[in-house]
Amino acid sequence: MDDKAKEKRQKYNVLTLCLALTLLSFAVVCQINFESNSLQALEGQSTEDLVAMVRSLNDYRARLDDELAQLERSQSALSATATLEKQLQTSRIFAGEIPLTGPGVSVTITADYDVYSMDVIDIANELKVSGAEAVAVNNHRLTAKSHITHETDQEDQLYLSLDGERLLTPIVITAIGDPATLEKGLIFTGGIIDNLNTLYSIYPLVRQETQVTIPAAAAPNTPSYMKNAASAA
Amino acid sequence: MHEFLQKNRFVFSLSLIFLLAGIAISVWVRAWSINAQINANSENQNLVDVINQLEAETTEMEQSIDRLRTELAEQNPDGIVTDEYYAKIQQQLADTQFYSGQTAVSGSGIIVTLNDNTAGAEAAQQADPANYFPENYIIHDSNLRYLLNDVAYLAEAIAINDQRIVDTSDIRCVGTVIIVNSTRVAPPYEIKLIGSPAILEGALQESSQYIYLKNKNMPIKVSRSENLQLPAYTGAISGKYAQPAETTTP
Repeated sequence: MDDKAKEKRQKYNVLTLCLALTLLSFAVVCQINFESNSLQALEGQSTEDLVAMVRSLNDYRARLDDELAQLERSQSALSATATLEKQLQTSRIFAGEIPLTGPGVSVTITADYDVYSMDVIDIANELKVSGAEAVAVNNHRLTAKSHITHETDQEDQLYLSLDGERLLTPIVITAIGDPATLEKGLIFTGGIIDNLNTLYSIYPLVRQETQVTIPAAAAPNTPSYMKNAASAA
Repeated sequence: MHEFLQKNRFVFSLSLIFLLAGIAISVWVRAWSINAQINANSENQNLVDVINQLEAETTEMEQSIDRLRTELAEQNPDGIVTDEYYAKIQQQLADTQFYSGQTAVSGSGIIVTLNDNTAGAEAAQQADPANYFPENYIIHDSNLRYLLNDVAYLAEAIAINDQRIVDTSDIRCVGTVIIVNSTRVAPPYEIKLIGSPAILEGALQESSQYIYLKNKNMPIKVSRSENLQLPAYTGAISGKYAQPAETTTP
C-alpha cells in the first residue's frame, strides 16, 4: 500500500518533469529564434505599420534635410565672410587705414642740406616706382593727396612742410618694400640720389632697413563732391 | 550513485526524449511561422527595403549634421558671423574702396589739359637749330608730379588720362614716354580733379608749377565740369612686404 502510493507519486513526478523540460526546450529555441531573427522583425509587421513607419521616416529625413541645408548655409556664409574679411583687410592696407610694418629703406637728409619740396616728391615717387607699399616723411604717411611745400621762415631759413605741418630736420623718408630694390631705385648712376650729389652737392643717406614702421594716413574727410559712379548712374 | 542512475534510467530516458521533442516542436513552429510570413508578407518586402534605405540615409545625415555642427562651432566660436555682421563688413569694404580710388566716381571739378609745345619747338628749331633743345618743349613726368602736388590735396579724386591716382601711384618716364600706374599715357595729358571747381582752379592759378609751365608757353587749358567721370584704379592692391603693425591702443 505504502509502496504503491510511492510508485504512483513517482510516476506523477516524472510526468511533471517531462512537461517542464518540453516547455523549457521549446522556450529556449524560441528565444534563440527570436534573437537571431530580430532584423527580420520588420517583416513580421503589418503593412499599415510599415507604411506608417515609412511615412514617419520620410518626415524625419525632411527635417534632417532642412537642418543640413541650414548648417550648410551657415558654413558657406562663414567662408564668404572670411573671404570678405580678408578682402577688407587688403583694401584697408591699400587705403592707408592701418599702420604698417615691414622691411624697407630710409633716406635721411640732415640739416646740412637745403632740399626743396620737389626733391622729396621725386624721392617718394622713385620709391613707389621701385614698389614701395607705403611711404612716410618724418613719420607722416604720404598719400595721393599729400601736399609738400617749401618756404622760408623769418630767419630766412628754408624749411619743408607736409600737409601744412613744418618738417623738422633731419628729414627722414621711409618706405616699406624690398630693401635692395628700393635702394637700387634711388642710387643708380643718373638716378635721383646721383643727381642730388652731382648737381646740388646734397648727400642723403640711403639705408636698407630690416624693419620700418609707418603710421596710418589721416582719415579722409567725408567727400562733398565725389559720388560713387555706380550709385549715381 | 550507480544504483541511483540505474533506478532512474527510465526517468532520464524520458526526460531526454521530451527535451528533444520540445526542440523539434519549436523548430517546426518556427519553420511554419516563417513560411507563413513569407506567404503573407511578401508584398511588405518592398516597404521593408524602403525603411532600411531610409534608415541608412537618416543615419548618414545625422553624422553629417554632427560633423558640420562641430566644424561651425570651431570656426565661429563666438557666433559673431551673422547676416548683420556680413553686411557690416560689406559696407566697410565698399567705403574703403570708395575712399581709396577702387571704385569709379563722378562729380564736379576741373580738367587741366597739358600738351607738348610742338609749335614752339618747330619755331625754335627753325630759328636756331644749334640751340634747340626739344626737352624744353615737352611735358615731363616731373611736371605732372609737381602740378599734382600743388592741387591734388584739395581734390577728392584724381586721374591722369583715365589712370586713377592712388596712394601707391607713381608717375615716371622711360625716354619721353610718361608712365602712370605702369601704363603709358600720351599727350595731351588730361588731369581730372573732382572737388570744388572754384577752389581747385584757384589753387591751380597759384601753383608754382602751373606758373612755371605757363611762363614756358606750354599749352595748358583749364575747364570746369559739373560731371567728371573718373575710372576705378585697376592695378594691384595687395602688398608683399607690408604687414599690419601692432597698434598699441591706449
